Amino acid sequence: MNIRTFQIIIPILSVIFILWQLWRIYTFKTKWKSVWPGALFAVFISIIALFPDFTTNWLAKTLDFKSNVNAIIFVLIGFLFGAVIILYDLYKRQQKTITKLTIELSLFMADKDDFGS
Amino acid sequence: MSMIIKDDLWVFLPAYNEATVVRDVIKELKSCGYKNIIVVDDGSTDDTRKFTQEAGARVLHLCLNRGVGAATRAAMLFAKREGLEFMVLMDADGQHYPSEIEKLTDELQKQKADIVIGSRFLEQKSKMPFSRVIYNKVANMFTYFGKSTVTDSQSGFRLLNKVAIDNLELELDAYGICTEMVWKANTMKLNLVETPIKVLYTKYSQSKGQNLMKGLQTAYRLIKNRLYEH
Repeated sequence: MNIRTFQIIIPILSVIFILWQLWRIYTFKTKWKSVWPGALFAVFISIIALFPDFTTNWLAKTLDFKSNVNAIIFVLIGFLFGAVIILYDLYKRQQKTITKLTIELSLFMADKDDFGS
Repeated sequence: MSMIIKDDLWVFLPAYNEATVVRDVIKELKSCGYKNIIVVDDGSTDDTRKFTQEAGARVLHLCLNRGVGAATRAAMLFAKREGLEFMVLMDADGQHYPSEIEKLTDELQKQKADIVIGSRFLEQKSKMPFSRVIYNKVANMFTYFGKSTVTDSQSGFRLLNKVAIDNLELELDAYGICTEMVWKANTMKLNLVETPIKVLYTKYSQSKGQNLMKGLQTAYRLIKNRLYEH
């Protein structure tokens, strides 16, 4: 079997990435909820790198595409779409937090004596 | 129920860049006998805060502009923490007549209500611009989804008692808070009533407030909020 360079590099990078995320979970810097999309993507990319022809042909057959290149592009666009949704959700949650903090700060800064409480 | 005296009433004016009119609004409130006036400055970039203080009212200052919903929530949280008995929410653009606060307090006492909304549609004399009428009718349809039949869900002129202040937990930052308040009041079986009010539409006040684009954004946020709730 002729092993290509990317078939070594990509899985190694993916393993490093996944181990790094596991370390971050272990040290309480993040949670599973934030990590799983990236980890899933890393696993997916590694599988494609290790078995490129098998996986792309299988995807094309499953999704009923004539070309395995189109199939893989379609799947990656799906991942991109999912990433956008996740990032947007993260952005909205951050906005909520900012509003909450702004309100709390305004109440903290309010002059209690002036308000006669 | 004993009479609501003006000293027990706290008037909150969520405001964003209302330096042009805020002094007049505060002056009119004071002339009507209301002493407890707080302008909730939603990150204004003009002299709203400075003019409010010069006019002798207090300022609850949000350092960032987060929307009328955030300003309203800040006002409600302040009222809750201070243990206020009653709070009035009014627009800071001079659209509402301070003299009509008495109508709200009378209705609250008469109907033993928790929330009184000043409705622009109960009294036919209100000359609302046609586009706003359409917008409000559509917005009211959203409150019907919350099984509530108010005639003016988007009115910013409201009186809340302690029960409403302490129990309503609102989440939206922008104009959707008007409908959210009605929905949640209905869910919590608070006694929500309306009373007719007059409004003053000027070129200035019409340039403020809601429009179709904001309405569409509000609708989206309301639907999303409702879905997440369930």
